[in-house]
Amino acid sequence: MTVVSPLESICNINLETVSPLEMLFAIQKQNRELLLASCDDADGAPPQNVSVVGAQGQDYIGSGIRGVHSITIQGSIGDFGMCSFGDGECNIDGNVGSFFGHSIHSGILVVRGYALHSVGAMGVGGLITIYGNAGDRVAIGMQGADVIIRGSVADYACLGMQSGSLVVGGNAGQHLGKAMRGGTIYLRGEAESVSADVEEHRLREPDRLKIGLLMLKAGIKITGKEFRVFRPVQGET
Amino acid sequence: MQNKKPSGDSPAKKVTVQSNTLCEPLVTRLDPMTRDKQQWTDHKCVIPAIGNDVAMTFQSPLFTRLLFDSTLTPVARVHFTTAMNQFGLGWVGPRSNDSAPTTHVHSESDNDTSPKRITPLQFDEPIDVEAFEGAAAVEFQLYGLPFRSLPSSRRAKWTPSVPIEIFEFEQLAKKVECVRILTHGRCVLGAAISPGSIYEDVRYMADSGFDYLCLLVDVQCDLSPTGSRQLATIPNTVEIALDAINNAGSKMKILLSANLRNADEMFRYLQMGVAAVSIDGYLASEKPIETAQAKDSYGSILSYSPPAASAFAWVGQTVSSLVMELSDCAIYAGQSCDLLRTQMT
Repeated sequence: MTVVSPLESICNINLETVSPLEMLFAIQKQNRELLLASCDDADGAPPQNVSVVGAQGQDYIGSGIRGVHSITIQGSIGDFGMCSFGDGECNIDGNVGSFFGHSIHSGILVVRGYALHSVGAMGVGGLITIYGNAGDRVAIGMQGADVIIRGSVADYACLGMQSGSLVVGGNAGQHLGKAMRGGTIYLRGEAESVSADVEEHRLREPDRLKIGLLMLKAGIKITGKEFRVFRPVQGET
Repeated sequence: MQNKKPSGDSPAKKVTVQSNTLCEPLVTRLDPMTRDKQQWTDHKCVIPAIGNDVAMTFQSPLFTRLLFDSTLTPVARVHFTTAMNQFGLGWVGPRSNDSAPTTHVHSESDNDTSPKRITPLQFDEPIDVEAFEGAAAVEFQLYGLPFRSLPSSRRAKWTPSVPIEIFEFEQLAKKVECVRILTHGRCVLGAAISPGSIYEDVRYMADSGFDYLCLLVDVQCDLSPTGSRQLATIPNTVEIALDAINNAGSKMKILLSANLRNADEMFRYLQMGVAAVSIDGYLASEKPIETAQAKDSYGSILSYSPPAASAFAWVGQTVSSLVMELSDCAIYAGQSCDLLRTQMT
């Protein structure tokens, strides 16, 4: 496994001698290349396993990463983390900022903390799992990805979603499913208000199987019996 | 003495002098003493990226959006692309797929190592890293109707809009920076906006970190003279946009997509400070009458027979003549035409 510390290994600085201002400058200079640079081994081939220690809440971490088998990030990351991610699995032991997993193509993203707004925006494939709560506009404009929120979601979840599915283990805020054109919402708790663009359906066996399969991939032990199903109103545009 | 035979190198020398003279402005040809005082102007369109030394360069300050805004057949797309690359023009359009027709004529432009392609990124489209490969720029298309599948009218498509996931002002700048990272800093980033509240929109784009801004004053929806949609008035829009950029202290460049039907108009806006102008309206107006259909071929119900390559010869000829006319405008304005004529010689 390739173990990378962003401050020492990637930024090439010594924590004992550098000043706080220099350290901040080094972080800002290197945050773009944080994971990209770490994905090149000496032989030029991308490593199969990468571990980043201390992400320091930086933005754009892991954006554009493809083809790395396993990524582990210890610490919280900022906005636009794991943007356009594909072909791999990433575990984040911390919180994530806004637009996490933006335009995800494939692979699995697991966050063991909380998430700010717009998780999984415009995602076209893959699976995003948030063990905590998520902010507004989860799965906005999503086009085929799957998002699991173990906790609760805030307002405007699935805003303008075209395809894919959102599984919420807790409660939902206002305007659930606003302007939704496709896809499915599985809600275990209650919603403050449900948009008129979606309607509740009866939970069928395929839905239970799908929930169970998604939970199995996410590593969450739960059955699909207690969920409510929301789909777009047929004929609405 | 009058019948003296000239030496071997004199004819070539005479031709060189004549060629240089033709490329000089009229004022210099009338008074050669002013040649040293002549101010040579660079007509090449260079749009640098903010923060690094990458730049998008067009040999001629012209570009086209026809490959993106209109519905051309694959055969027409190939010939349009070839003509644009041959004459050093920029073009907005997605990357050509592998299913391109086999009637593609191999030309020298196929070996062009400096791509002129601008990849569009629509406002409700996910970021596709593969689409950025080989592109000189990524252009955010900031217009459309969010969260609706059916527009209410033909003009509704051009309603100004930010990307659908953007709800706060500073988020657009973060998305721009994210795309810059995804392209590894190799692409110039721009935005195509439909003029609404022009001053505020341009200031917003400048503050968001775009390298250039494409003003969609007119758009050409198909290859016919009637396929143009006017969204704003040209002089007013350009003046306000340039004023907004100056007030913002930004180095953002302006591209103008307008229905300009002759070289004089194009040169006038280039003189105003626009980096490049579109040739969509010019191409639509210059299309030969025998092929002056909205699309390049109607085909038939049962089969589709692609038109012959000769049916698209007018594209290269039209672009060539336009570059020549633009060169003449530069000459009569007292400026150098070297860069405009480079690709012609």
